[in-house]
Amino acid sequence: MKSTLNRRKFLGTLGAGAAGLTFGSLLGSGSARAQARSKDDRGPRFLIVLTGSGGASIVDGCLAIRASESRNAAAINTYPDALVTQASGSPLRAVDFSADAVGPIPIGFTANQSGFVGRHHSQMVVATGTGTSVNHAIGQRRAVTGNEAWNGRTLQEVVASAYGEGFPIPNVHLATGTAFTERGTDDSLPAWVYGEPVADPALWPLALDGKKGLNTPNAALVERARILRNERLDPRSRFQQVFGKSPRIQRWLSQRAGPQKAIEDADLISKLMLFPDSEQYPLSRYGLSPSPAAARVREVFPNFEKDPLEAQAAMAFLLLKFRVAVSVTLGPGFDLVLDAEGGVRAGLPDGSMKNTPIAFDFSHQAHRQTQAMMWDRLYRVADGLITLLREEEYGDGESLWDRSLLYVATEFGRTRSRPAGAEDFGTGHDLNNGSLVISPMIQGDRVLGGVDADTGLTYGYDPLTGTPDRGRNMAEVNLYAGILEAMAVDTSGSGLPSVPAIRGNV
Amino acid sequence: MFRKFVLTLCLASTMACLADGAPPPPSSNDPTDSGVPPEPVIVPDPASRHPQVLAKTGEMYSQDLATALSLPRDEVCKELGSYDCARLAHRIALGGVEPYVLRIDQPLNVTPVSAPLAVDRIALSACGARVRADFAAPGSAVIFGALAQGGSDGPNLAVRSLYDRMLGRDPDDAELSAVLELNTAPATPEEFGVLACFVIATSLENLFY
Repeated sequence: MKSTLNRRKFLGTLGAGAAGLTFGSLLGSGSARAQARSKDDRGPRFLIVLTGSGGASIVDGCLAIRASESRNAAAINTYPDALVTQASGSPLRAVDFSADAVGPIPIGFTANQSGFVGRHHSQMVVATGTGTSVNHAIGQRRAVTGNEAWNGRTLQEVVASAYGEGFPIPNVHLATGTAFTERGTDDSLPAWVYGEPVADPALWPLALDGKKGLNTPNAALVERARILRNERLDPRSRFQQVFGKSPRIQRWLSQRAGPQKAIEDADLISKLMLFPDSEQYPLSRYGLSPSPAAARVREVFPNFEKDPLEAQAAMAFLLLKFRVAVSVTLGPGFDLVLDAEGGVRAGLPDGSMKNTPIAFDFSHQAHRQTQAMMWDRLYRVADGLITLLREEEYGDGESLWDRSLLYVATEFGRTRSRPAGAEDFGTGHDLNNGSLVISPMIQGDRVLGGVDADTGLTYGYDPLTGTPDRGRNMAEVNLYAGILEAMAVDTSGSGLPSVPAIRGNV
Repeated sequence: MFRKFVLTLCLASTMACLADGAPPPPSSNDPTDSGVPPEPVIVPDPASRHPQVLAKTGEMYSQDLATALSLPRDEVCKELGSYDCARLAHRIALGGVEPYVLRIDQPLNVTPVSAPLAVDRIALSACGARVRADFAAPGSAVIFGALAQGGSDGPNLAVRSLYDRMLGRDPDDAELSAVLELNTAPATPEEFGVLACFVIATSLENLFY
């Protein structure tokens, strides 16, 4: 595949993004439109990978077990019946849970899953699965490569390859430091499908223009200088004649040619500028301005300045809205995030801990509290993204959300046992789990497979029909293939199994 | 291949003699010899079959720019006046690591698309700082003194100084005349200084090693 940026296509997609500015928020659920989409529609689909780093346990979320359902209620991780709610007619469950502390951390919180599940269950599917590693990094990687199912390509790379040509930066990694965002191992893919890391959503947009926001000669003069450098000085230099065939130099030259100007012409330094003009980020002093969409985004993610995950989510939305990317990956980090007004010495009020240390993996110390708090955290971010994407028109009455799929990726589940009747206990890593997929492009309100209430372990399903099968465990490849199928990615020649069950009857 | 190498060596040696101003060998009695030295033969540098180069990290690049332009390292580039370009704002894009918060403990193995843009920003910022300082005090200028004072040889001296300071060599005639083309309206002398500095600072020769 040729790794070039089709400039016309690129500008066309950006134009469509700008047109979306006028789209109102009255579209509501777009699943009908998504379902009515022509089967030969080859327009882009958008993948959102939301990472549940550390082991997001499905039996502490959508597949929670009521104590009354289990013969081993006191010995395994079951919840008091009153805490587990279920939307009418839906198999998907929610746990609403409060605590005064998270293990040894004396900060209370209230977690609410039922609000999210109540709003989105019609577009939610849980696919059970049993992974192949309880090592964090390996589990993470396998969660996005289907255990190297397609030459080691990540889901994000496949989607970028399928739909991202013509987008300026098709695959953006807002989460860092995990194997969910490692580069895949298929070197045959064009370089532009590999993930672009965003270390800091506040400052990253500045790197999308080589001259704005600096006290420099005017843009036309700089452009003239670049042309001279690119077309005359470098090509005839002895250095380039000798070393010009280096892959590193070749990549640099290809980036400096088309993409650089296209990105600048698209004014992404402005469109993606999430943060407002302030003392901390004095944009106007440097001739810059916040994104025209930033005010609305900040309404939905009001903690974007203090909570890195909200900043990531806000940037993820802008990347999709302005047709910069077709795949965005975000997720909580492994660091404690405190939002205590006045600092720690002023006290630690309930809700002031936004992120547990080591994210879901703090379940080692405090399973139930960690899972409740972190699932609530993921649901809030997913809810915000869905809300914003529903407000944006893709075209022909479809919203951006109608063409999006959100995958909550996690590396493994957690062990199910607990000291008899304990409410406060720790858990280890367990291969057995399930994954949550949310999209208008799938048939929601379904659990593929099921959970054995006596063991707490999930079991599999028929990949073609979705029929539960207690004698079966589903491998990573099933989820990987099913997600790509739901996103209408052409996987011919990949050797992937067909798993239409994830998509369902839409 | 060996024969090609020997030929190249011989031609290069001949060029070296000519370049040193050594007289041509005494003419023979060949009646076809006009006595006029032949045009020098330009031999392109052979391309490396296995070119191994690395891109400078943002920190290396900034440090090199600081040295070449005689700027304090902290004045090379700061986004929005506060955020050091190489250490903070564009650290990861330019091959840096940040294991403590971001948990990135290996440099990226593929240059991100934002890297060339980030490099342009660092170069423009540093070049702008040097030009402003030199034009503010031409008497103690480092590079652009003659340019600031309006001397006719100011542009030429500035370009030669930039090549020397950044690339450790003189420009050849073609390079010199190409860069001097930037010294045309509507560019002011200050703008020419920044642009000349920018094209040399962001040349491949200054970015890779």
